[in-house]
Amino acid sequence: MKLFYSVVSNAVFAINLLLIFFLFVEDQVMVPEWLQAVGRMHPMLLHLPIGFLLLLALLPFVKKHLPEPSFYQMHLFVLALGSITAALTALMGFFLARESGYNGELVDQHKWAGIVLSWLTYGLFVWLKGQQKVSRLFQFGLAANILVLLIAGHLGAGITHGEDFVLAPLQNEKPAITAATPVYEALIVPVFQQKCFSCHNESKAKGGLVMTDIKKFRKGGDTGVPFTAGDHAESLLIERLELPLETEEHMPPEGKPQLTEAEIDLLRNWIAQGADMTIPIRDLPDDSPLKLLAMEQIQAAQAELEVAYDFAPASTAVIEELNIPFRTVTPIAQGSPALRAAIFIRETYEKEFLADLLKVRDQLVDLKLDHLPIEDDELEVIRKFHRLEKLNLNNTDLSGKGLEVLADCGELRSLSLSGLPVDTSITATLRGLPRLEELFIWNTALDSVGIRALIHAFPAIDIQSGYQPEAKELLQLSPPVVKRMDNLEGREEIHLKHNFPGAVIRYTVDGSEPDSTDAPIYEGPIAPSQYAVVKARAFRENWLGSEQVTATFFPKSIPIREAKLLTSPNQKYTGSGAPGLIDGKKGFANNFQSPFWIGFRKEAFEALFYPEDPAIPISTITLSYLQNIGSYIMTPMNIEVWGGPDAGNLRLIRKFNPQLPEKYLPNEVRGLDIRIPASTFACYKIVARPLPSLPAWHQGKGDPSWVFLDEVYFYNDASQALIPEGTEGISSLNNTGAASK
Amino acid sequence: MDKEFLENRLNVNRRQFLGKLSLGIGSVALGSLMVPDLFSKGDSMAAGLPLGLPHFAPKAKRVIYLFQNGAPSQLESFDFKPKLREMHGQDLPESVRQGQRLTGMTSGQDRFPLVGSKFDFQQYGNSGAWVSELFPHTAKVVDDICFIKTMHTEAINHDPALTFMQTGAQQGNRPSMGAWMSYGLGSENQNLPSFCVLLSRGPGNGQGVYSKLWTNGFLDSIHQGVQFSNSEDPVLYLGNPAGRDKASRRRMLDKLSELNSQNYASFGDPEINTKIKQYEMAYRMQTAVPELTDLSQEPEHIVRMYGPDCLAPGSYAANCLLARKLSEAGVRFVQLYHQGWDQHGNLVGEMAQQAQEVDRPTAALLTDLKQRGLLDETLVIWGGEFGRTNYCQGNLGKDNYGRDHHPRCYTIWMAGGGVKPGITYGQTDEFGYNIVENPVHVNDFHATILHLMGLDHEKLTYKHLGRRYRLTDVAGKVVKGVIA
Repeated sequence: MKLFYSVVSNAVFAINLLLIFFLFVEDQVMVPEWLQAVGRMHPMLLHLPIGFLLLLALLPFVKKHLPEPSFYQMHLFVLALGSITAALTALMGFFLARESGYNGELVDQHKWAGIVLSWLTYGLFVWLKGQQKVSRLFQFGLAANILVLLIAGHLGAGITHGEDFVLAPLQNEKPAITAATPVYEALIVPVFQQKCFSCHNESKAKGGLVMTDIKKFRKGGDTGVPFTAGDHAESLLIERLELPLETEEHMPPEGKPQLTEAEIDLLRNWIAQGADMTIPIRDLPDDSPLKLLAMEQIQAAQAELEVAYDFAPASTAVIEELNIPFRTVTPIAQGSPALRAAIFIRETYEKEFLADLLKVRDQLVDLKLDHLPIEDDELEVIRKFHRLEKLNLNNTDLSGKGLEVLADCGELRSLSLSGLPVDTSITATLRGLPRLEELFIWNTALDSVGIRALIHAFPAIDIQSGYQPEAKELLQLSPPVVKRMDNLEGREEIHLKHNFPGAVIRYTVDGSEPDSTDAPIYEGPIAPSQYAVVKARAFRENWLGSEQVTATFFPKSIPIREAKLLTSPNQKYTGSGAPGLIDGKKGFANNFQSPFWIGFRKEAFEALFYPEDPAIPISTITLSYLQNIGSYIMTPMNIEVWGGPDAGNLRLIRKFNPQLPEKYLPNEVRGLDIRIPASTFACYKIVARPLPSLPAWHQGKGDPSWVFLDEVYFYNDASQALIPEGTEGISSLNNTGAASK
Repeated sequence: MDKEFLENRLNVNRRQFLGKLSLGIGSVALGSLMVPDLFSKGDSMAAGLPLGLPHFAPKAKRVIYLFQNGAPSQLESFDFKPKLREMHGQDLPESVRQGQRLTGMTSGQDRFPLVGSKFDFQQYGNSGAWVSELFPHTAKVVDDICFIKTMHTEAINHDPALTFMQTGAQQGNRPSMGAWMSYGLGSENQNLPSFCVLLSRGPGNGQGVYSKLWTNGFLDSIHQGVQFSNSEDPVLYLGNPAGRDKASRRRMLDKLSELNSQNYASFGDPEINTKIKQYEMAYRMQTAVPELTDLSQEPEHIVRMYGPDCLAPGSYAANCLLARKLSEAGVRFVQLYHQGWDQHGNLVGEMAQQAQEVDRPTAALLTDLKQRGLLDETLVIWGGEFGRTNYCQGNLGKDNYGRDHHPRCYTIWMAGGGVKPGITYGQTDEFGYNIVENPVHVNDFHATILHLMGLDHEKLTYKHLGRRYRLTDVAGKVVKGVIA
C-alpha cells in the first residue's frame, strides 16, 4: 500500500508540475492527434474527482462505526484516487482547451480553477499522508477544496451547456414581443439560443464562430462569413444546416438538438429579407412570410396574456345527464372547464330543457337556442348564465322586449337576434353589455334608418344587418315540381307542387299555354281521362311567372292480349321483355337501367301486338320512349307500323321519320304518336330503328345511338280527340344520374 | 429453533411494514408533485375524453364544403393572369412546363398554345381580390373570403384527385374528411347525421361522384356520410306509412331494438349497435327533417337572396339553402358536390352557365351565415379537385377553347370558421402554371381544416390493420398563414 501511495504522490506531483509548465508555454503547445482524443475524455473523467472528493466529505457520517485507523485509511485511499483523477482531468482539460473553438473568459477561469483544484487536492493528500489520523484542520481544508471543486465544475458546465444553464428555467421573463421589436430579436435569436449559442458563444467559439455578438457573428468563423444578405442559397449558415446529418460539416453536430424544418425556413426567409438585424417587425413588407411569422408570435404572446378559463369544471356526471338527444352540452375543448350548449328541434322543446342548464350556469359560455319556441319569461333563466360569451336567439318566439336583463351576462361578446321583432329599444340592452363585440340583427323590426342609427351609436360593436332585398329586382320563379303518383285505386295522378309559400300554380291540359289569369289554379291532383299533356306555370306577386313545365299523361291503352318481340334487345337492357311493353308500368327518365326500359342499339326494335278485341278500331299508336342524349339514347330514326290478320300476312300501313333532336336536351320520357287510318287488325307489327350514326354535334359522333322503350299504347278516335296533330308528349321527370362517358 | 429465527426474519412485522409503506407513499407523493392534475378534480373532466371533443378550443364548429366537381378553371375565376392574354396563341415555353406529365387527352397534341381568359377580371372589396366577371355575387363578398391560389395535388385525373381531396388518399379505401370529423368531434345534434352529403349537377360536362367519397372507410359506419336525395323529399321514406302513428312506430322500434340487442349479446358485432343507433336517429329525424325542409319560417327575401332556383329541389341553390339549414341545425360536416365543371372543350359557354348557377347561391350562403352570426363558427370551402391548364386543349377557336387537367396549381377559397377574411394566400407564376410562393398541398389543406375545427391532425388517429392512420397519413402541415 505504501508503494501505491508513493507512486500516486509522485505521479500527481509530476502531472501538476507539467500543468504549471504548460501554463507558461501555453500558446506554443501543439497537441498531437492521439492526445486530442485523450483530451476529449475530459468531460467524462471529470466526474471521477467530483465523486471521490464528495465521498470524502461524506465519510465523517460513518466515523463512529469505524475504528480510528480504518477511518484514516479510508480517507487516505479515497484522497489518493481523488488527487490522481483531479490531476489527470486537469491535464486532459488543458489538451481539450487547445483545440480550436475554446477561448474566452469562461474557459480561462475554468482552467485556473481546475489547476488550483488539482494542486490543492495534491497538497491535502501529502499532508494527510504525513499524519496518523484525520484532524479537524484537515476537514476544513477539505471543505475549501470542495468549494473550489464546485466553482470549477460550474464554470465547466457553463462552457458545455451555455452560461446560466442551470438557472435559465427560473429566468423565464421573456421580453414581450411587439410590432416594434426587431424581427431578428423576435424570431431569429430564440432559434439560435436554443440550437446554436451553446457552442458558438464568446467562451466556446467552435469553428471560430461567435453568434452571441452581432458584430462577431457577421464576421463569421474560420470557414467564412455565415450569410450573404438576400441570398440564402449562397449562405454558409443555411448550407451547413441543410447538409445530410451524417456529414462532418452538418450543423448542429449529430447528437445535438437539430433545427426543425420550420426553423430553417425561418432563417432562409430572414436571409432572403436581407438578414437585417435591426429592422422592426412593423417595417417589414406586409406580404413577406417573415412578417406573417412574426405577427403570429405577437398574437401568441397576446393569447398567453388572455386569461384562460380558471373556474371549476362541472362534474362529468352532470354533463352526461344533461346530454339528451335534443340537447348537447360539451366542453369547448379537451380539459377545458368552459361548456357550450345547444338545444335542437322546435317541436319537441320543453322549458325544462333550458332550465336544466342552470346546473352548469357557472360553466356555460356559449348557448345556442335558435328556432326554438323560447318565450319572454325564459329570459329570467338566460340571465342567470353569468359567464355567457356567445348567445344565439335567432328566430325564437321572443318578443324582443325585456332583453335588458341580459345585462346580467356581462361577459357577452356575441349576440344573435336575427329574426326577432327587435326595434330601436335594443339600445338599452346594448348599453348594459360593455364587452359586446358582435350583434346580429338581420330580419328584425329595425328599418335601415334604425340600423344606421344603431351602428352610429355603438361604433365599438360590429353590427351585422345582413341582406336587404332590392325591391326593384324582378326575379323569375322556379317552375312547379311535377310528381306522378298512383291514387288508392291504382290510377295515375299528376301532382303539382311549389315550395314557395304564396306561389300559385296554374295549368292546362288542352295543349294551350297556361297564363296568369285564365288558366285553372291547381288545387289537387290532376287525372285526365284521356291522353294529355299537362302544362303548368307558377305565379306570385312581385315575381316573374315561372317557365312552363309539361308532363305527358298516358291514359290506359286499348287492352292488348299479347306482345311478342321479333328482334332481341341488347343483352344489358332486356327490361321485362315484351310483356313489359303492355303492363302500363312507366320507366323513369333518370334510370335507364331499371327493368321498365328495354334497349336496342345495333338491331331495330320489332314487335308484334295482338289486341284483345280487334273490333275496336285503332287510330293512334303511342310509343313511350326515353330521351337521354348524353347517354346516346335518342328518338328512333324511323318508324314503321304494319297490320294484318296474323303475323304472316302483314302489310305496311304507316312509315315515317320522327324529328330528331339537334342539340343536347334534358333527359325525359317522351311520347311519340303514330297516326294510322282507323283499323281493326288482329295483329300489328311496330318497327323502330335507332340512328346508325350520331350527328357531328354529339360527343359520340359516328357511333350508333340507342332506342329505349317502356310502353306502347293503342288508342282509338275518341281518345285522340284532344291531341293536336304532331304533338309529342313531354315529361318533366328530370334526370340527375351521370351520363356515361 | 433455527426455523423460528428464519420465519421471524421472513415475516415482516407491522412496524417495518408501516415504515416501508410510509416511505413508499412518500416517494409517490414526491413524484406526484410533478403531475399537477393527478389529485385535483378527480371526478371531472380528466384527460379521459379523447374523442368527441376538440383538442383545443376551435373557432369553427361546422364545415360546409361546396365541392365543385370536375375542376373549375382557376384562370377564368379567381387567378388572374394577364400574361396569358398577351401571349394568347403562343406556345407554352418548355422552361415553364418542365416536363410536367399530361393527361391522355392532350398528350397527343403537337403544340400547347397558351390561352388567356375570355372573361374580364376586376378587383373588388377592401381586399382588392381579383374576380372574373363570371362571379359577380361572389365578388361582393370577397372581404369575407380567403383565396388560396396555390393548392396543388398529386393526381391528374378526376377520380383519384377527387378521392384524394376527400379522403387524403387516392385509392379510395380511407375514411372521408367528414367521417374523420364525425369521429373526432362527434355529433352536435343527435337528431341528424353528423355528416350529410348533397348532390347537384350543372349543365356543363360532368364527372361522376361515388359513395366511396363519403365513406367511413375503416371507421365505425355511424360516421358514414348520409346522402340526401335531390328530390322533393331530401330524406326518403321519412313519413310514417298510412295508418301508422308515432306511438306504434315507437313500440315497433323498441321491440326491434330489443331483438337487435339480443343478437348483439350473442354475436358481439359492433355493426348491430350501429344499426340500433341509426334506427333511433331515423326516428328522431322524423321530427327534425320536416323542420329543415319547411320554408315557411324563412322570409321571402331568403329566396331572393339564394335565387329562385333554391325552390327547385336538387338544384345547387336549393342545396346551398339546405346546407345552411343543416349546418345551423348542428350538422358537423355538410358536403355538397356540384358536378359539371370539366371543361375540356367549349369552356366559354359551359363555364358561364356553371358559374351562373353557382355564383348567386354561394354568395348568398356566406351572407346568410353571416347575418345569423354563424359565419365565424362555420367553415365554408369552395373549390375543385385540381386546376386547368393554361394552354388550350384541342383547337384554339376564335371564341372558344378548352383546358385540360392541371394538378400543379389551382385556386380554392375558404371563408368563416377562423380563417383570415379578405386575404389571398400563395402566388402562382405569371403563366398560372407553377407555384411561386407558399404552396399548399392537399395534406396541408386537410391539416389546416382539422386545425380550424380544433383537432391536431397528428393526434386524430385510428388504428387499423396494425398501424395508426390519419387523414393526413404521414404528411401535412397546418397553413398558419390563413388562420385568423
